[in-house]
Amino acid sequence: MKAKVIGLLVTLSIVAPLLAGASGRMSKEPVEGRVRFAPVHVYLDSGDKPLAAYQFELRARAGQIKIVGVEGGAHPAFQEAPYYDPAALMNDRIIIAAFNTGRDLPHGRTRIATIHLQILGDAEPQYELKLIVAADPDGQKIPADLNLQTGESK
Amino acid sequence: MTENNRQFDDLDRHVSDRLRQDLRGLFEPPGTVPARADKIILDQALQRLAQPRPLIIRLRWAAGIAAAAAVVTVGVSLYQGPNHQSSIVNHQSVAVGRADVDANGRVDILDAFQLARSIETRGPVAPQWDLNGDGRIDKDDVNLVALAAVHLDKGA
Repeated sequence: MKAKVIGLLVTLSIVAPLLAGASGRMSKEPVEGRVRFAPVHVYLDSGDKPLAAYQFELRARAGQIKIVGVEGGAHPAFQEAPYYDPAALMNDRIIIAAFNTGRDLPHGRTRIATIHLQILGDAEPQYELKLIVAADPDGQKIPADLNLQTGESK
Repeated sequence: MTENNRQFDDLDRHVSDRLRQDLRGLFEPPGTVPARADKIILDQALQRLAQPRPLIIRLRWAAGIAAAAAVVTVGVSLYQGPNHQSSIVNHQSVAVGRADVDANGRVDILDAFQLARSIETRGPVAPQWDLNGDGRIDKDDVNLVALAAVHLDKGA
């Protein structure tokens, strides 16, 4: 009898965390659906001001995504991979930033980063993009428009 | 079965009485156990088995509880979710307080930008900007400020 009680306790201890984990994952992952990979290109338009530094945040407002990689922008000043928290990988939110102290800086609309995503399910994700700061070579904040473009073409 | 083994199946084979007697003496059990002795042994065994064995029971319970606790611990640690951070981010989070280079109350990429410009132009640098504590204020410190700026704990 006591052996049965011990066995029951052990079984419960194994099953309970498994169920808890499974239910936790089920709330985040689709039960069915495909998995695909897609890039999101982020563009910043600084108008006639040269862009020396930027920081923005991207998160999924709807749909289920996982960030799998980040690459730099189009202009040589921002071609290197920007700064981001490695914890953002396999997450659905990321803060990205970069700066350049040189004099050869982009003007107008330029692609500043490309984020590679794993999209779970068939639903098209909706993104929330927030510009935290953009600055000119003197470190002065400048107004800028931030938008994104999905698809393979940059 | 081979021809040589067939002799063992021959039940009618003649065996002398003397040999039969000797074999019986060799292999027969030496008398029977009295029924009373059998009963005494059985009663003693039952009595002994019926007694509680507290040490063994306690050990069983302790082992069971320990196993359950171990399983719970492993389960909880496995299903805590993606909360891992690299050592560089941990290091950087320690230095977040000093990463506010422009002292505007928040850490963003402009702090790293200002520190990088100060280093390049050999402008003024404050000792507290040596975030990695290596005695120099250089690109490594700039990187730590930038990583503090993009840390995900901010603005969650």
